[in-house]
Amino acid sequence: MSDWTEIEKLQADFQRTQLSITTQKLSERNCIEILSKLQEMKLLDVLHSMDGKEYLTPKHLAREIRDELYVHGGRVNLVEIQQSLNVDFSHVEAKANEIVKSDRHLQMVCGQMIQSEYLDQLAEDINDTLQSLGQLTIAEISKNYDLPGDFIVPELISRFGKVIDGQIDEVNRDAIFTKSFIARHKARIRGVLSAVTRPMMLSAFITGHDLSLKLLFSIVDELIAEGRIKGQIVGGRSEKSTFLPAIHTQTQNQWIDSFYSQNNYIEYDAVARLGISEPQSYLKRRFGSSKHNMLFLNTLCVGEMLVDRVVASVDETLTDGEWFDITTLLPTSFSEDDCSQLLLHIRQTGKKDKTLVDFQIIAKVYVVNTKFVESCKKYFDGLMKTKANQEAKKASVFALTEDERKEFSNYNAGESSRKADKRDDRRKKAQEGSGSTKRDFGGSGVGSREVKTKGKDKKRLKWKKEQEEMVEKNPKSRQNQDEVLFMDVDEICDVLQKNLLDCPENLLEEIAEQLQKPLQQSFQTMLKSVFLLTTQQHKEKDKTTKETSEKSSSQSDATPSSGIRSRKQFEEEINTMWASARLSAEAIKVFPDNTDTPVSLTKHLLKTICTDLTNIIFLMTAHEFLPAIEIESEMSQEIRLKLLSRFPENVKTPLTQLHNSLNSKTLESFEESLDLASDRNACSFKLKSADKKKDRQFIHTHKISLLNKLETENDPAMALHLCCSIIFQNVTGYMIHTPGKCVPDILNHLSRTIDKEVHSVIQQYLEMIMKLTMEQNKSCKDESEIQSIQSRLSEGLPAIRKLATTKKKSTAS
Amino acid sequence: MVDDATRKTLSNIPLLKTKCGPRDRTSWVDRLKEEYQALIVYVKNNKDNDNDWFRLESNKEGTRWFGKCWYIMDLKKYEFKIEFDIPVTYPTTAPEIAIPELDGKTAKMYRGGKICLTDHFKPLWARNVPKFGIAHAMALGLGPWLAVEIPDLIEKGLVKHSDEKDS
Repeated sequence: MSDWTEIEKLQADFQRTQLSITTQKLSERNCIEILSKLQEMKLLDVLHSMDGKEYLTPKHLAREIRDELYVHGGRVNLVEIQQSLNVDFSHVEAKANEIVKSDRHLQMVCGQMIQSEYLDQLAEDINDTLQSLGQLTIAEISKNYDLPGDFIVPELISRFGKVIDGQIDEVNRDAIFTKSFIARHKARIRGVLSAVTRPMMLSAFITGHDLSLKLLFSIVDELIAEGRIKGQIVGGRSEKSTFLPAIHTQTQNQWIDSFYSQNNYIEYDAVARLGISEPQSYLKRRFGSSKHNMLFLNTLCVGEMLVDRVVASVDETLTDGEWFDITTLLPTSFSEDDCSQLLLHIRQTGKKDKTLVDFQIIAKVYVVNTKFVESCKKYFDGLMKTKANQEAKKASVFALTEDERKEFSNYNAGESSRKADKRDDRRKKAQEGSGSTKRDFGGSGVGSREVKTKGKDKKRLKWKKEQEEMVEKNPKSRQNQDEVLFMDVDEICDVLQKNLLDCPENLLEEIAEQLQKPLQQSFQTMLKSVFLLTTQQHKEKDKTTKETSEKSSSQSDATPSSGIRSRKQFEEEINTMWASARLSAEAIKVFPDNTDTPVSLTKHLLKTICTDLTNIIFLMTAHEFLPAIEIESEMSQEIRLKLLSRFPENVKTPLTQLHNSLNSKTLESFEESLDLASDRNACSFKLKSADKKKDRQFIHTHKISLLNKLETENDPAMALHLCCSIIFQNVTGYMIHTPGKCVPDILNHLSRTIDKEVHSVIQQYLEMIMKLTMEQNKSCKDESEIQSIQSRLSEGLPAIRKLATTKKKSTAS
Repeated sequence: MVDDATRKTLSNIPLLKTKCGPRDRTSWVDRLKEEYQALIVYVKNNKDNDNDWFRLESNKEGTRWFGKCWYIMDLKKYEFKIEFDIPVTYPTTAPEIAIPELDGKTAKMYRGGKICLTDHFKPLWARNVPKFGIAHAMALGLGPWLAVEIPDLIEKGLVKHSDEKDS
């Protein structure tokens, strides 16, 4: 019963199946809990994979890592291991480090595990490439194999000769070469550097011959050390360095030596042209030894011989007592600076050794005996004398002023500001001027004023000129600026040139400059002595006392002309001038308001009579309050201001107003200010009120004086001016005070009231005068035309005079 | 209907072909062979799924079966003896599995400890004659019954763990 046996078999099977062990299945959760429990209890050491599905023991991990390393051919990135093993990176890293530590065939580089077998393989690869290329840079290798150079280099070095057939540059470890490559290089370099005769930039060399910079230096060094090539590398180990062939240096030195031995000097420029940078230091190195006693100047250096030659000629010159131009002795390449430097050197050594007399160096290149300069002064003795005499005559004032000024500056040294000084000086000068030009204030206005303004102009001109000269000369020395200039440098130069015919101009200029100051000084002293002489002759104007006596005493015995007038005199003057101003102002009213004439007439009046009047008031006040100060009736605006600042307060205000009113356009403000000033509290003087009788008398005297003046006047324009004034007075009965430019206007005004023929005569005369002035002002003067006009004018002059007098008669009758 | 797990277990049990009762001596051998093969697969499956829950053996003829089944609850294993006979009309009639020791303890049981199977079982079985065998009966009949009744019985204190019984 096979069937039943089968059944039995099945039964048995069934039992066996039932009795077999049941697979104990745990839920995932339970498993994890159990494992964590076990790990906690340190009974189990397992790692779990990233997805948490697998556990593995550290030992297994280590094996897996090794496997991975093997699979990847001896080099594997830890990240790759981590990815393929799916285990946390920290475990992989820790384990990998552990493995690397325990196995010396393994290395960890940049997060990669590398087996020494891999490195061997790598070295072989590199060797293959190297053999085919000849050279390989470490950077290239590093890039190709993605390994740091620092790691590769020692690995490669350890394999040189074994796996790699090549070598590395010992100094510059950034490339490896095969021996044949080096040999090729060496041969090429040897060839080029042997052939070269001039300095050669290595960069050009490298590019031109396709050489490796890395290898170049070691090879060149080697070759130089061997003595195969002669020369040196300058400029360190960079692209900029230059190869200097010995032959080139030799030739350079030869050239320099020969140039020097021939000429006994050498220019830095010439040396620099040879391609030597810093020629000076080079020459110092080359010739600096005691054998060559070189002198290093600005642009070149000089040998002893040349110096000696110069010294000899200098010596000669000094004994001759003349001058000489060193440039004639030296090659043209010597610049002026060099010459002067050389001369200074010679002078110094001469002084030290006492071999040479002291001499001067002028204009850098001229050696001049000091005596020679002194001797030049003699040319000026005569000139100085004549000039001093002239000067003393011409302006004795200045010399004196100078002394006085000095005294004054000593006196108030505290406030010796330049400005104050100047003003003071000017005031004094003006004061001196008053001594020379006598003025009569009592006289009628016009005539005396004429003289006065002329004097003023002249003075002003002179002063201005002097001032300009001073500024030109030297603004810094205050002492000199007010002195009378003897001669300026050009003049001195001219004189010298006349006397020393063969001297070059620049030498003379320098000498002139040197001489100017001493000459000026001696001139000053001479001038003083000459002036003293002249002043002593003028006893009545003895002002020499000023040099010795004090300021106050000088005031006490002041000159009679500018001496103090009594108060009465002052008041009289004031009144006279006031009357003149007042009456002139009345004349202005005759003119219609709508023309310019009254304005310009008023201005003229303010500028002349009113200003004089103000000045007299100031003068009076100054006498009263500031007796120590000497002033003159002719004051400028500045002097008035200066005086104002010193006046006491009660006087100051009205006088300031008065002073200001001079610049206004109307007479009224002046009148007001004058009233204020005359007040008892201020200057307290009496202004006489208008008196018809006296006025008439005054006008009459004015006319008479004008007539007198006309009689003697020969200048046509002036005569016409006078004539017009007289006619105007005749017609209107007012005295007019007018500037010359208003004459046509007045004439125009008169045309309505005087005879036509008289008017036409005058008009013609006026036109002629205008024509003359125009002619004279022209740039190209027609002399004959001028003369003809002048003759016609002088012909017409009597007629004009006659007109004035007849007119008077006609109206008088 | 039966639950998914049961259905899955069921589908893994090979189906039978021979329609023969124990009376027919020759064919029964074939049938019994199939029964055993099905059982072996079923038990293997159970063991593989960590769901081993019974031991079963038969007499030599395969007409009487006995063994034990167990149920684990609250970390305790409750074991019960089972036994049944192959009916004469088998496989048209399903075998009546009995757990004698539970007799009288639950309403879902006939006299003699035969378990009272669900209403689904019988029509299912009827539809699948002769494909279903003992293994199916175990999986469809006893398994679900135990899962339903035992926790209830344990809760009621009618069934006690062997340790407790001892004590």
